[in-house]
Amino acid sequence: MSSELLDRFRDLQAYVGWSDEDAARIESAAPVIQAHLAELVDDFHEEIQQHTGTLRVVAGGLAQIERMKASLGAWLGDSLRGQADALYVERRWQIGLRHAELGLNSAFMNAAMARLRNGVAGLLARHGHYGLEPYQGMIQSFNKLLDLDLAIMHDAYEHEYLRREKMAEHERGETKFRKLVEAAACLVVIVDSEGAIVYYSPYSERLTGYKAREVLGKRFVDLFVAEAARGEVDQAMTTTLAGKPADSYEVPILHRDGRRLWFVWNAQRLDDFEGRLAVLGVGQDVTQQREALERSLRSERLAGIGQMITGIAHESRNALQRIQSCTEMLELEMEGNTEARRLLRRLQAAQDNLLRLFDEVRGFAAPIQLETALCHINFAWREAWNLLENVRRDRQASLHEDVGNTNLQIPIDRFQMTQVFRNLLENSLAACQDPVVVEVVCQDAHLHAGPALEIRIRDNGPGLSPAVRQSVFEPFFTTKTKGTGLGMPIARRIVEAHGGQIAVGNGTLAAGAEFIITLPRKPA
Amino acid sequence: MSTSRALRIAVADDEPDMRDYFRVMLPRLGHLVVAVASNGRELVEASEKHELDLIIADVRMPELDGDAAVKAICSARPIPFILVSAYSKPNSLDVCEDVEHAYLTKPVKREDLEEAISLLYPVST
Repeated sequence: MSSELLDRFRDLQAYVGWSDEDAARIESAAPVIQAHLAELVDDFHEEIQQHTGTLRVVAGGLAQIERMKASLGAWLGDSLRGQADALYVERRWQIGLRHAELGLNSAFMNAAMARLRNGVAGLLARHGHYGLEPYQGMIQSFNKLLDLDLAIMHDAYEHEYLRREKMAEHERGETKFRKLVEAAACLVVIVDSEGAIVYYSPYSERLTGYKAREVLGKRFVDLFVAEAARGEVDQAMTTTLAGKPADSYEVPILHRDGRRLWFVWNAQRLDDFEGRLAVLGVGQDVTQQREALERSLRSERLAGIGQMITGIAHESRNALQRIQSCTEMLELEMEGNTEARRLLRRLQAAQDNLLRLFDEVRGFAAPIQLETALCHINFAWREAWNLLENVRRDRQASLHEDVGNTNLQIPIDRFQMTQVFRNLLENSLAACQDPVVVEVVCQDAHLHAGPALEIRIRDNGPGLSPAVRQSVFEPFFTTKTKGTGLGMPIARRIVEAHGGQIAVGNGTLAAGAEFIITLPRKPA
Repeated sequence: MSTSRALRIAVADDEPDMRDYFRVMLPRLGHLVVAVASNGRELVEASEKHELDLIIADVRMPELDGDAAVKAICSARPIPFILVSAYSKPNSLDVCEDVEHAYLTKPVKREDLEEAISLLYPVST
């Protein structure tokens, strides 16, 4: 820097026509100025004290002014020596820099320099005893000297001013960016090259249920991505880090409560996030749209199945009727033949099973007609529990409720919701060893930006494996040896017909299964 | 639940197995099968020839459906009837609502038949 500055100073000297003669004039006038230096310095600072603009930044009071006087004296002394070396230029640079640091307007440097010029001219006129021509030559040389000093100070001032402006602009930009990011209703996350989260926007907390302090420093994929998809997401991050941005990349993430949410991601590499390479990911929650699409596809598929099943059911009922009639007539023929009648009873049981299966499939595929009324929903789950009395007989099973002060009155089709609870409770009773503990926990919640009631049904059974969690609402998926696999899909259809949602939760009762039903407080 | 007397019954079904079933089962329940028809038209004809206490008819039959046949019969003379359908919701049927009647959804069992008849002809106490 110093040699560059010195070169710049030499250029300026050439520009103003600085000569040895000027140096000689200054040297000859130096004793006069030195003898009255204190006058110049005092005059200069009197002026400072009259300006509120300068006083504002002189925060150190009188002590600072005394220090400034000393440095002004040293500067003038330096100038009078006429030794314009690298150190000399550097000191002038520092003066300009200091002005910018203090936030003083550069006009003050010009004004101060003009004050000094007048001071020097006055001193030389009063004490120099020069003739007119030498006096004019002396003034010209002093003007060149002070112009050169001022030019370097201006250079420094502008340099520093621009640097500060750039920094402020950067900060303003950063603040704007941060505000924008923080206001954005999406998941904004920055991960480092190892995949660890280094930034997590406030809105993300609302979307994922995780607080920033819980996620910072942890690997994004380990926390948010289901095990099966981790390899794929890691690969996508590597590609992004290599400079290929990810555009509309759809991947589900796991909410803190275990729900799977669908996000569409845009990701790009940040070359310098706080000094390191990172990936910025912006995820848009499309769960609602995706679920709506899935629902619509499902209902289309169901309408198709419904039509088909109605046709099959009709035809099968005719066939079943013939089997039934013939079985009963055969039974009459077999009176007295115990073994044959035993076989006929087994035939009858198989036929009854087939009929039940047809009825369930038809019930699943048929459109749901709700008869909604304002009901206390606890009556629905209690009724479902009572209906399972036969299943609970000879078992140790208890139902606990934790509803606090939550308002349980909600618009529902009580009969249909009883069916939902019955299916859930029946599964719990089938999966759990005695003593079975089922817990129903209610709290207020939000659904699609409206008030809702959240009902969690937990048991103390073995819980759901990741594979089961994935497929539990799929039709005909069952873990029971005797089950149609329609109980949970029917439950979901009923809940969704109410405008609600049902999802698998994390469970807290000894890691058992948990289902979360969220129902809107206003009718769907 | 059982009925107090032997009823005179006409049955109609296009399935021979079902006709046989009614022929065998109804007498076991203490009733008389006085006519057996294989479609709605035959049922209407039978109703004109016989004194009937009850009609049991399948809904879907060739030539004339069971519900239409029953409607035609009841417009002349109200006779209690049981309609048997493969559909679980027979609400689109065109029948005479002011005549005693019952619906049964296939597959019909002996107990269902017995119960439906006793609803139309309860035991007098």
